Amino acid sequence: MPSMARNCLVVNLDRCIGCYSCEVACKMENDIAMGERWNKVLQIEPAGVFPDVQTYWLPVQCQQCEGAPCVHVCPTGASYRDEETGKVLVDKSKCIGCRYCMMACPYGVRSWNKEQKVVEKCTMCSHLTSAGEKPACVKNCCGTARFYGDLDDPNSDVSKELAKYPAESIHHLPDVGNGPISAYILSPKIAKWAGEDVHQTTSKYMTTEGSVD
Amino acid sequence: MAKTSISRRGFVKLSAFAGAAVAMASATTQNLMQVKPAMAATTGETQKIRTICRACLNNCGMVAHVRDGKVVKLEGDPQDPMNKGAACAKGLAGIQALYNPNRIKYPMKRKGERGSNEWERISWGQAMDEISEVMWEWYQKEGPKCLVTSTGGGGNPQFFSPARFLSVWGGGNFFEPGCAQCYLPRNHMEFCLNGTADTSLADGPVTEVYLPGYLPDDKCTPTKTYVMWGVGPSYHGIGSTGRVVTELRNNGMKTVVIDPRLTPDAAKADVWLPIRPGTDVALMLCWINYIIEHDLWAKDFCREWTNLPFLVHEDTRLTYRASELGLGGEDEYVVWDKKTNAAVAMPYPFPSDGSIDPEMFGTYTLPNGEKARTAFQIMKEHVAEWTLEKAAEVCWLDADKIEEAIKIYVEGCPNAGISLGVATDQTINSAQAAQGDAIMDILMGCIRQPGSIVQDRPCYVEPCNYVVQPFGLHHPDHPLRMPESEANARLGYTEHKGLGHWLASHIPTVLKAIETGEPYRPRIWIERSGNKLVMIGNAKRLYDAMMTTELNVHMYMHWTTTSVCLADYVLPTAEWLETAYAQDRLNTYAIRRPCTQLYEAVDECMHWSWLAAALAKRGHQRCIDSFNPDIAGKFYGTYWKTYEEYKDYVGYFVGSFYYDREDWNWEKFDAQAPSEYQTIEEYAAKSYNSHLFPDNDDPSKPAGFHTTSKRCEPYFDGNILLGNTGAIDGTGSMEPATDVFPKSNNYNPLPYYLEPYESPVEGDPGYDANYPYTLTQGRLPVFHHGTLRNTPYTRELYPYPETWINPETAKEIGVEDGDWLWLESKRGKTQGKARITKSVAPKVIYQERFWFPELLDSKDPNRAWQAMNINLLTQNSDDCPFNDVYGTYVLRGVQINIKKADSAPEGIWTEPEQFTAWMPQESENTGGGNAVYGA
Repeated sequence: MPSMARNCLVVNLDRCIGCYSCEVACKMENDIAMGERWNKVLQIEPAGVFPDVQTYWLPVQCQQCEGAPCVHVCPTGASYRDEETGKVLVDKSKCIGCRYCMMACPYGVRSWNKEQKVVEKCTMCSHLTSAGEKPACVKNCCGTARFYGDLDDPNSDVSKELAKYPAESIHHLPDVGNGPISAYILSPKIAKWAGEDVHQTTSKYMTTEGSVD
Repeated sequence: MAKTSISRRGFVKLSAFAGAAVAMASATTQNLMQVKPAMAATTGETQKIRTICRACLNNCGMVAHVRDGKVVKLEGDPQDPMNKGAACAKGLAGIQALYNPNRIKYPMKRKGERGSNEWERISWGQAMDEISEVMWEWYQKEGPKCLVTSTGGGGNPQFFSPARFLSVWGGGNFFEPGCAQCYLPRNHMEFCLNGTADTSLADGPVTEVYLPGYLPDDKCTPTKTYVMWGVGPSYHGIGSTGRVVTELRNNGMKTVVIDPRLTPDAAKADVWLPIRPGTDVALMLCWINYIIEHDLWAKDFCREWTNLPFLVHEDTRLTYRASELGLGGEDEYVVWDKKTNAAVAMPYPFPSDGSIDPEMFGTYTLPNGEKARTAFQIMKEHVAEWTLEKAAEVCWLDADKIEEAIKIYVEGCPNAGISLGVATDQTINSAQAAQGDAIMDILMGCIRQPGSIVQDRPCYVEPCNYVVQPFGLHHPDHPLRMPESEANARLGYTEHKGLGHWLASHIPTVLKAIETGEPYRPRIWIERSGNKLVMIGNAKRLYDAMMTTELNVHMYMHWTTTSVCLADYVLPTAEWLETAYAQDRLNTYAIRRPCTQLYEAVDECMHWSWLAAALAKRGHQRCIDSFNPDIAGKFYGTYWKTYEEYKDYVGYFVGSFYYDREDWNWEKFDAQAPSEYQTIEEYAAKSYNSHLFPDNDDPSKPAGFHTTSKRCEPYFDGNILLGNTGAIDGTGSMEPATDVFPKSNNYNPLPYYLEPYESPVEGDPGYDANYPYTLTQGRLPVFHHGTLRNTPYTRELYPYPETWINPETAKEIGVEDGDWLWLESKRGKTQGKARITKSVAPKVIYQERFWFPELLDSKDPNRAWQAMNINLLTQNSDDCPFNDVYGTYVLRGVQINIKKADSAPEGIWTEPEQFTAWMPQESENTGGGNAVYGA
């Protein structure tokens, strides 16, 4: 798949101000049912000795894994990687509602659509991005913290934003062999990245709670 | 025109939940009679309408996608110079607010007992006729004092509509729960001291921070240090303020955040000072002391452009005028000259030839033998006790961190500044905090400098920037201005004269008047805002008082506890997506365009117009005159018979004030808005060192500052004159304020610290071991004040208020994360839900105001405002003292205790699916009440 684009979202947590605009923008744009979220903002609880504590807000959505477990486990091919854009998507017409993919996803970012009895997830607003617009969460973000584009294109918004930061400030959600490509920027002066210790952070975002019926 | 169906799933999906909707239907949700559609087109095309939001008071640029007369999508306007495409959760929730099943759709009249929640639909004509009849009856019997009007400051674009109505009515009282508790102390006092502007980021005057990236780089000095004192831009005007502070912070601006709560801005600050709620002035006095002690103040600026070298009369505490000592004129002050070692007159402006070199500090003997200190000497002595260590002890802070914060601030000066937020407005020291904030920036010369927070870019029409204004606000001789005798009789105004700046009355005194009939009894309450029972301190007192009135009318968009529990009539009011308005956005002027009109909702300006028309019909002469252009005048406009007339006034106002065009109407405004009314270079330059610009009246002199002395007045003796006469220059005609706390005949020229009346400090007179914890409150990013508790996507994010408790304190109380709680103060009790977090200090408790729309249709609707409302605990009672200048009652820093509760309040919704019942509902486009009623 080397020729395939690597489109994803990059979130700059130095700039994320925990306002939840991206959650609501996503839900409005995609008409997501109550109780379901394709994009969720989690606060990493303040750590340290008061008042010397650090906290940050972590928006989590599909991480566009290179070896996407949701695609591997799907028995019908409903979960697939789009050849042109490289995006991990769901073809709802093929989804039989077995929800294996929801269990396979390490980040709990797939949602069950009760009405249609299919699995859904962040499409990076494919209906907008295919028309040259940015995803709703990126457009409306109040911290200008969210970026969309192709990691392989040095002129994309994601590449340009990542290029501004040293390696120590660039992070990924814990990789259990799935190869998440969505990246997070968090500078040490703002807070220590809490994602490396999988056990410590499991309860914070490595969960499917709230997503499985 | 047939019902338009919307392709968006939220609307189609409604049918799937029809069962749920029917199940909760009751008096407040039925009555869906159809009226004649007037506005909807059915072409299927999507129009993109540029408009401005009003989910809070920031007015961010928005693009509304409108199809077949329905708003189907909102997004931030990328062309807006302040929010640049950003839109927050509150703004994006606008569609769910607009099409909410809880909208008040038609005028309604109470059928059963007050509070029984039984209603009948009536016509606009009947509503206006019956309400005005009661008003006219009491007016004839008791005069204009029988009426109280009120609004909410945060969201209402027509903030001054109730006061405008009172000016026509000829008297009576106006209040809003912000005002003395939100923004008035800063808006008034900071301007009095710095003669320039207040420092509120949320309310608009702090525009300097928006210039980097907009003003060409070679003309721009970005702010170097920003001190956010009780300011949380990430949580208030998020698309504009949160965005811009993030931008500057990421580009190297240093920040200090003073806030009991670890907000996102606190988390990202260079220094966070988690101050004990209610002790801000103690910390300010420490900063001032440090700046003086370490000789950090701006020497030239303070000598030439402040009243700090002026000599002060020891008894009156007023600065001497040269004429008093036979040294010069009445408009000259007195300083001690180093060269001649004598008292001399200080003319205006400061002599540039070096002929006078005033002593800044010291005590001197005047020609008449009296001893006098300089204002700066008095200030120095006044703050001397406030060492870093003392402030650390009082404010529960670390002395080294305080020092680090001061140094970061000082390093950035004068391209720096302090914004003061709402927090201090909600303490007994509200006026003093505003004084303290202004003094610090004055001492450091952070006034009208590039990058400084205080800038001279005033709205053309103060106070604030509201198009619709009370008659005669700026014209004392206007025939429809409220008569002076009536204005001076406003309740609580004599004691708390700062209220006059917003034409407001003192809420506790209004309630006392209703309770006791002294000095007179208000009979009728007309209220336009969401939920006074949740927004006013000591809410039970408001409820008890308002249950005894003769008539209560509620104007709002959604059913709330005010309408259900207290109103006799409810009048449907338009959502922001249905209204027309105008707002400056930096150097541009933006427009709020009506995107649709639902049910019989009407912009509030028409409610008041129609009431005036109904009273005119009965013979109320001032109401008759308010429709006469020769009397009302073009500046204020007449009252409006139609919404088109109103819109044309808005167009005229903007054209004449901002574009020098006398011929604008709505059509002409609409044709070009939003647009620049001056270039960004002009906009920026009009403030920098503008005190040096030629004076308008006498171009041979510099313009100076907008104060009595034309200098900044950090020693604010005008405060004494305000208290004694009602005017800061001593020209007012009012009786002196005498019954103020602490007992004094005067307001104080310098800020002083009062320990909170209810104190957590053992040994303090206000200490009570039964109430060991200090409660504070503060904004959430998904609600504005009492709004949006019934929009599904915001309520899903925050279904009930969290009670933040430090782990140490949680252990002491014996509660765990997720426990339901009882919080209790001397005034009442309510529930909370524990979140154990190091986001607050030990002993400090944070919870935000809340109410539950789902309980309005329960057996006891009063539980909707009582179940989890911290304003049942806050002050607003006669036994607790008020701020002297503004009459502020205390909302932050009250003492409580906490116990574990057995369960959640009965009947509240906590699961996301429950809110599905409030998803957008099919609705008719009718043209609003404008289409069915014309006065």
